[in-house]
Amino acid sequence: MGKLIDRRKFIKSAGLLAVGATIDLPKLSFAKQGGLNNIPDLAVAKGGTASERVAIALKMLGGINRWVKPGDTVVVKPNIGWDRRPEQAADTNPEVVAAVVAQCINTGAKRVMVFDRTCNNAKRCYHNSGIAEAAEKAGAIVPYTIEAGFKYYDMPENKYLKGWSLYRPAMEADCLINVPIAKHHSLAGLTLGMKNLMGIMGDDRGKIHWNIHKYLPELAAFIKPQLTIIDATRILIANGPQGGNPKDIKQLDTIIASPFIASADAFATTLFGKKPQDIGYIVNSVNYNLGEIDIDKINYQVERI
Amino acid sequence: MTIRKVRIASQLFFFAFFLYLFWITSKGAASRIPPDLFLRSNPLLAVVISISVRIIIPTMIVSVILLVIGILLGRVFCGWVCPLGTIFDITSKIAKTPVRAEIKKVHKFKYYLLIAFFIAAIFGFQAVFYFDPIAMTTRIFTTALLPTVVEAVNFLFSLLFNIQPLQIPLMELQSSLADSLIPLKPYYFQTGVFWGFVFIIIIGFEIYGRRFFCQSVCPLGAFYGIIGKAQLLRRRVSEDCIACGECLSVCKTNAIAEDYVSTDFMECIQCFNCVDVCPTKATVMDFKSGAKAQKTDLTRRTVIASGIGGLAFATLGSVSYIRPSSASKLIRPPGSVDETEFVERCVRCYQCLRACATSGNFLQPSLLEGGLKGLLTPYGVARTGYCEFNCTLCTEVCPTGAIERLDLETKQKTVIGLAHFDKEICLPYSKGVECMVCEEHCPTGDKAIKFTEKEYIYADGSKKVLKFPYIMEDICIGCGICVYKCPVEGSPGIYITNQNQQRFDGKENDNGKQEKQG
Repeated sequence: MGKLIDRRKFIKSAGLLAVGATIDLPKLSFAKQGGLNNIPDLAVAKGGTASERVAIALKMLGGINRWVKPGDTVVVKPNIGWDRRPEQAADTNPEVVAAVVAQCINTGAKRVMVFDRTCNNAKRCYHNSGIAEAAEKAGAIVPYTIEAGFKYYDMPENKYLKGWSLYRPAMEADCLINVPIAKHHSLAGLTLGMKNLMGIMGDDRGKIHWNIHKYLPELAAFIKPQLTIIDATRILIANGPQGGNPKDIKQLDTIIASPFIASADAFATTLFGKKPQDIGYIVNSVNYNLGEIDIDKINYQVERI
Repeated sequence: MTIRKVRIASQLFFFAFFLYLFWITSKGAASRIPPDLFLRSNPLLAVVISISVRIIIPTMIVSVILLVIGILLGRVFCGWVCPLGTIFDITSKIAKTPVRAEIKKVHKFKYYLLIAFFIAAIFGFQAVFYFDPIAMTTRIFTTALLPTVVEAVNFLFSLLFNIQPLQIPLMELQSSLADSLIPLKPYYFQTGVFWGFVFIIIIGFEIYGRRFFCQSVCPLGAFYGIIGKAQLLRRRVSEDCIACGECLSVCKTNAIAEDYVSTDFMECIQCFNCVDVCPTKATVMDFKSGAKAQKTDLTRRTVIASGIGGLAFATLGSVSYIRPSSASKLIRPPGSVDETEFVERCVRCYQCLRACATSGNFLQPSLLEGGLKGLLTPYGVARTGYCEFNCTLCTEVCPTGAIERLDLETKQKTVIGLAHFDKEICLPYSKGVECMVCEEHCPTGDKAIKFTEKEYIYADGSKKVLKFPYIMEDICIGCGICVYKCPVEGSPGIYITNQNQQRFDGKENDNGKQEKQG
């Protein structure tokens, strides 16, 4: 318990420092983004167990009850795209998913659903990724996506992506929590928060690839997940997005959480020794009010466990 | 409780058991009971395939049990166990089908057919699967009935999904169904409609007269009739018979002669209807002597004619036999034995298709891609699905060993084909559009699709550096996910052929490439 109090103190002082910094730098508008002055826009937790990382990152952001209210229906959307085991780092770490689910349940969510429209056979992915079992144990229901659940959504405000079939349970939930895994992807550069939203797209979403850097920010702007929690317990540094080769995996034991999807994605690039400017869709996201992408300007906090 | 009622209970039990095995086929080797048990224990298939490929099929040794039962008790399988027979009996119960004496005229046909099948098998053409009731039932269930049910369920779900409170129960129901029977997406087999018609036709004949198929065509029935000619359990009629003719009117297979006393034991399916209906208890079925047999006489002329027919059929099959190397689209399931043996072992039960439909949905029944001998055999169509990298299901449910059982590690290294780019269609090559969906999905760890970055010059003279994919032949296993996921509509920018395919017999395959695994 003592540890927690220390952390709170730390956060408070860090927050105060941030406030002090904003006074001198009027260009920064994070107070507007974050709402509360002593709360960062992006939290990074390193070390410890998956559930500790999730708990601490969410605590740094002011607690999950900022987004999840008692009685809510919450969708936790991990990456379950591939028929791979957790240690192969192609799908979101099951413990991270379970920890997020547990947080939602503890806050009083009426129902937590976990699903993904998978690339490989859904049964195999749900089972072998360990996510179905872990999330169910944590209290979520983990159904496969059902064809009937997809509906075409018009996206009139978008310039490139004018509409697409999306999964209704994700769109109609009270709160959508996006829980991607950070991975290499040869076309997109990296697959992070925005790319993970493709898991609620229906139809032949491969076509998104033809203009991926323009489509992804528009998709994210339309779906607007309340929270993005990037799992970097293990990351794939090559042969992504599904890997399969143990030498491509790096263990980082890191969680990046933010209500600003572009900020989360931008920060995650640093895990790969890259810059946000290296990834086209992150660069293009600046026009869509998805969060600051300049690392130096993001109001973030890092905590080691 | 009369024996007739025990027989009905047995029929219902075995029919339920058949459905259960069909249900759990998607679990493969993980199920406690082998899902292909009905097929494996089919003595007709075991004998004919063994004749055709000249070895005893190890997985089918269990059929000796039914062989012995058949010798001792005749066609008891037909009356008590056969799932198709039970379907017929249920149909006639509903349709109030009469027993029709005129079907007697075609009794002999099935024996001639069986002779033709045996002769064809001797000359290396196994064709008995066409009419074998067990293989036929699983085939009809897989290709016609299940896709219809799935389609209906999906339609119903899409209607009900609009009712908000039902959404979550529907998703949960679908998830629990998806683990065994109902796949997540509707699926179709190209011969499904045909087998649906076959089913309607045989059911139609059943509505005309009881057990029409069993009396006229069924090769398994004919087989049991012949091996059980000297069966021990026989219908016997005592002197109390008042010649009321009741037994004749309930005998499903027209096995009772006009004198009410003699029985054709090659036709009798031990259903006990005659025992049950006899008002004077003169009719009994027991192991005592005194039964009067009426013989089915096959004419020598027709026997010889059937033999020649079988020979002609076998020869015709050989004439039209296509070498797999010339049928490049014929992608066989991983673990398939040498092509010649594969088409003879395969009984088109479609257990592999059934299992695959709930996994990668890759396998389809072929038409004439593999020649007449290879008609209706399973092959992979990469536009309907793909071979799941971590899946070994099809190799686990093959009753005849046409697909050898593989462990996951072996299967992941087993080459079933090779991918090729069609650069006239593939987007970076043809239109200067970056895509790379194929590379994204390539499952081999060290990817079999790699790319180079080159400059593309557009029609207007502008230039852009793009990623151009290419195939690593040493790594590609031909799983076809690249073809399935290719977002180009119509003809995809990548395709697979059976080049480099490995077959599991230790010998050279038809492409002359030595098997890698020895």
